[in-house]
Parts: sequence; C-alpha cells; structure tokens
Amino acid sequence: MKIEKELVANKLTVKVEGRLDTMTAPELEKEVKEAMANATELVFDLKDLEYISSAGLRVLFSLFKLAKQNMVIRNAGDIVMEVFNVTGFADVFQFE
Amino acid sequence: MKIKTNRYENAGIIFLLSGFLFLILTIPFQMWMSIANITEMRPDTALTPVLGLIFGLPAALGCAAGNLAADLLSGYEISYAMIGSLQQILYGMVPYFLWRRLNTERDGSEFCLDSIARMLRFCLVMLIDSLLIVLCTGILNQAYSVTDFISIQNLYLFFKSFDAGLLYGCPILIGGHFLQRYLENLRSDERKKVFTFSLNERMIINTIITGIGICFLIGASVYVTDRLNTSESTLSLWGQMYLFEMVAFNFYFALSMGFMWFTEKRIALPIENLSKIAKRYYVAHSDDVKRREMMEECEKYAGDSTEVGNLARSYITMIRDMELYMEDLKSATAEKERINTELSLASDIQAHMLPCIFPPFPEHEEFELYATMTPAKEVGGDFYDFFMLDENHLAIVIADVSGKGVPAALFMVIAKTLIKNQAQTGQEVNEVFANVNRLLSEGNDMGLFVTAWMGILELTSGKLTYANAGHEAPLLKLKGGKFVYLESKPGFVLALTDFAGYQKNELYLQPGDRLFLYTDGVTEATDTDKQLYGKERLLEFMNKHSSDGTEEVLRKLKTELDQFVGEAPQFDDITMLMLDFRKHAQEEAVL
Repeated sequence: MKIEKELVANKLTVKVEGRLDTMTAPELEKEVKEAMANATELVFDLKDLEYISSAGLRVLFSLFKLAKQNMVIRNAGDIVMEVFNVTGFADVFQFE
Repeated sequence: MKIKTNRYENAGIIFLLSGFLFLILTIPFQMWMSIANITEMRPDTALTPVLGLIFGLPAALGCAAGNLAADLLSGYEISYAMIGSLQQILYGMVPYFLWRRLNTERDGSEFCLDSIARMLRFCLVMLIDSLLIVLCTGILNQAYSVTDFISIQNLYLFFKSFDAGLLYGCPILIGGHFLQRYLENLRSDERKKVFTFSLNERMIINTIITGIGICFLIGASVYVTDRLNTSESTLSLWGQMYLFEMVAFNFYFALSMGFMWFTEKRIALPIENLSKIAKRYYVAHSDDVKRREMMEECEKYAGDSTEVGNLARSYITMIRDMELYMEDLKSATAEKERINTELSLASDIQAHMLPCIFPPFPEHEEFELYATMTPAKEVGGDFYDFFMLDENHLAIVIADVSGKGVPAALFMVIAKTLIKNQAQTGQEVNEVFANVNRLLSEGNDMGLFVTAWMGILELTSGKLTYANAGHEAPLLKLKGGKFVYLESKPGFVLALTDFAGYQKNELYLQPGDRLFLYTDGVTEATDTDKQLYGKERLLEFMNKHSSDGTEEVLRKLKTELDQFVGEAPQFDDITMLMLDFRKHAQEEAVL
C-alpha cells in the first residue's frame, strides 16, 4: 500500500494505492489521524485502490467519525465500490 | 595378502626412486663441480637422512645403492665404496628412528613442520645424524688414509651434512605435507575445503629460500675470489665455501628461528587458540565449565597490548553480549511459546463454539445442511450458526467480523451469542439484527463491526424470511433452474451505529432448492497475480456441481480455492454454509 497526503487550507486529500487490508489498515489510520490534527475536511482518492477488506472499512469509518462526517470518497473503482454497496457503507459515506 | 604385496611394491618403488634421485643429484657435482675425489663432500648426500626420515629402510637402501654407484663411477676402491654405502644406510635409518621417538603423533601429520617445536626437533635429528656420519666417515677416511680423523675437512663435512640436511629437508617435508593434504582433499567430498600453508610453514619456506640465496651468493663470491687467487686445490675451495656458508647460514637460520619462535608464541598460537574458541563456542556455550575455560583462555591474551590482545578483548565482549542476547532470546521464545499455546487453546474453543456435528438434526428429513470455517490466522472473525427456533423454524446465520486475530474472535463470540439469544425470543430477522446492532454498538470503541446474513426457514411452508446486514449476497438455486445471487437491499453493517434499521425479505423454497452462504474469504481468495476468485467463478462452480451433496460441494470448493490461490497466503477466513430444502414438513408433525 502507498499513501500520499496533501493538505490545502484545512482540507486533507489522501490518495491510497494498492491493498487496504488487515496488514496495511493500521498504517493508514495512524498516518491520517496524525495529519487530521491540522484539517477539518477529509477527501479520499481511491482511484488506485485495488482491494479493501473489512479492516479497511473499519479504518475508513473511524476516520469518518474523526472528521465529524466531513469526509468525501472519490474515484472508487468497481471492486471497491461493490464492497461499499454490499456492506451498506455506500449509504453512509459521501461519494463524488 | 594383497596389502602385503602392495607394501612390498611400495617399498620397491621408494627404493628405486630414492636411488634414482640420489644419482641424478650427484651428476652435476660429479661432472662439473668435482670436489677432489671425495664424494662425501658433495652436498647431495644430505638427501639420504631426509628420505630415510620419511620412508625408512627402502629409501635408505636406495640412497646407499645410489651412493655406491656414484662412488664406483668416481673410481673408488670397491671395498671403500661398499663401506661408505653401508654408512649411508645408517645415515638414513638414524633419523627415521629418532624422528619417530621425538614426534609422538601418529595421525599422518608427523611429517609436517608447522611449529617451531617440530622445526627444532628436526634440527636436533639432523645434528645428531651429522655428528654420526662424520664420525663414521672420519674413521673410514683415516683407515684408507684419505684424510686424518682430526682435520678441517671433517669439520666442513659436519657442517655440510647439517646445513644441506636442513636445506633439503625443510622443503621436502613441507612440500610433502602439502601434497598429502592436496591428495586427501581430492579424495574427500568437500572439494572446496580451503587448505594452504600455515603461517609457520610460510616463514620456514621463506627462511629456506633466503638461506639458499645467501649460500649461493657466498659460494659464488668465494668461488670467484678463489679463482682470482688461483688456488690450487678444489678441495680447499669447497672447504672455504662451506666454512663461509656455514657461518652465514647457521647464524641467519638461528636468527630466523628466534624470530619465528617469537611470532609463533605471540601471534600464530594465540590466533589459532582464539579461532578454536570461536569454532566450538556454539557447542560449548551451554556448558559452564567449558565456558569458563574459554573465557580464561581469552583473558590470558586480553592483557596483551598487541593486536592479539585487541582481538581477545573483542572476543570477551562478544561472548558476554551474546550471552545477554541469548538470555533475552530464551525468555522471548518462552513467552512466544506461551502465547502460541493460548492462541491454539482459543482456536480450539472457537472451533467448538460453531456447531460441528453433521448431520445436525437427523430427525429432520426436510432439509440437509453442511458448513465449514477455515481461519486464516489461529483465531478468526468469521462464523456460521444454525439452530432450531422451534420444531418448525430453522435459523441459519453467516457473519464476518472486521479484522482478524484475537480482537475479531472476541467480538465474534459476543455477536454470535447475541444473535442466537435475540432470535430465540421469537423476533423477526430484521428485529434481531436491529437489536443486535444496538447492543453491539454500545461501548464499541475499537470500531469493530460485523457483516451478517440471517435466514429463518419455516419447514411446513418453505417460507424463508431473511435480512442482510452488509453481507455478501447468498447464492440460491430454485428447483431445476440455475444458481442466482439473492440480491436484496443490504442494511448497514452491525455495531457501528445505534440506529440502523434492517429490511425483512421473504421467498418460498420448494423441495430441491439449494441455498449457499459464504463470507468474502471465498470471493476474495487471491492468487499470486493478485486476481480475486470473484463472484463469476463462484457462480460457475456452483452450477457445475449442483448435483453433488452439500458436504461434497463444500469440500470441492475448498480444494478449488486452494488450487486457485496456489502459493499465495490465505488472507481471510473462509466460511461456507449450504442448505438443501428436501420436502415440506407435515403440519401435524410440528404441532
């Protein structure tokens, strides 16, 4: 997994590449939590995310709460979007 | 018999070779560097004690024969030559016995000069042998009136014998030992075993080469000087050469031995001992006595201010560090062992929490079901469950807790218990999920969640009511048809919010219908190229095996997944449940 972060005026954009699973999810949680100290809005760019497991969903949801629901998901691919749909997260998160 | 024959053959070969070598070395001195008519003064005669020392009687006889031939060629009287040759036998055999008396090793390494002690023993043997041969030759020459017993020639003869013995002996012994090791190495399986000259052997070789150089230079300068002075006798010329060479070589050799003794004692031996310690440390570190001996050995050198002292001090530090490290490792391993034991106990407990007796309800011929769970780690977050709510209602559940390992397993236990408890109060599936969701979300600080699918089958009517909390859609085969995914609007996963609602769906099963529940471990099984197994392949597989029994299909699917994944590790728990609806229950039977 590769994480790229960009902070522009309180808006943190996080680009996630590769697999987001039990092994990699804690790293994402730690990195974004740290970066959120200076941000109020959170954007996830999931264009290059190949796979997301339930552990990954858990981290996204905990960040969703941390950002006080100011979280947007962009460019989720078919496989990832299917997971959001199946689990009902599609109704919880905001998508662009 | 054969061995004996070989021994005689070998002796014969040694005899012939020794004689031949002796004669060959004689030729230059015989032809071009004739020393009057006294063959004993030729340096080649020193070959006898060296070959005798190594090979014993056959070599001594060979040299004696060579000497006889050389003497006769020189035109000696036969009786004189015969006695001289008998002396050669003695000359060759004395070192043979002396060397074996002084060197007690009998492991094939006795012919090497790898230490100063051996070098000194070799010098002593040569010294005694030289005195002996001078004594014999002196008496013989006196008897034949060649020279007086007390004469300068006999002194030259002594030094010639001693120095030439060293000059021939050292290279032959060192070269022979090298050859022996080389041949052993060729025979052994470990061809790559590195072998080379030891430090001592190198220094001895160096000394001998330098010594030969010195002897040659002095010899040449004496020869030239003498020719300019037009000395009349070759005997006195060789005498003078021996005298100068003897003084220079012996002085140089003694100095070199002193130097070698110093390096051996201060450098070579300590390094050898330290390297032995390093070699056996692994075997000996657990033995207290041996360990103490090793440390003492190191401490012996640690006071040294040279590089050897540095090395010894580094060794001591290394051994102590290593011991600390091993202590740490031991306790860490024990701790890990304990955790592993507990994990495997937990895994056992978890496995027994899932119903695992099949067929589970043999009295119910209306349906047949089979289920399996294969955890990715020791304890997993997946579970399946099935239980009778009453004689007419069968509940089936499949669920997946987010994450893996102990936290997921603990959460799974709570979720499974709650679902069963809520269902047994007679609520509808959607109410069960709504209540479980609320209960689980209380105090769920970790943000763990559960995806679950639950169905309740009414046996008399075949009515299946079901709800989905964020779980994969099951596969359903209605009688005679193909499998389809039982899509329904999924509700949100359990445990994240306290207000989520769930939708109740229903459909009617007919005898021959089949339902397959699974977790994402099946569809997201990943091969080495990061390809997912996927819903398409699963659908195809199910249709292909729709006539097999429930247990057989699940077993075949597991095999199929293993083959698909190949060498890639199993990321997720794999859980499957299959239900066949056989026939409707009789109304009166369930009342």
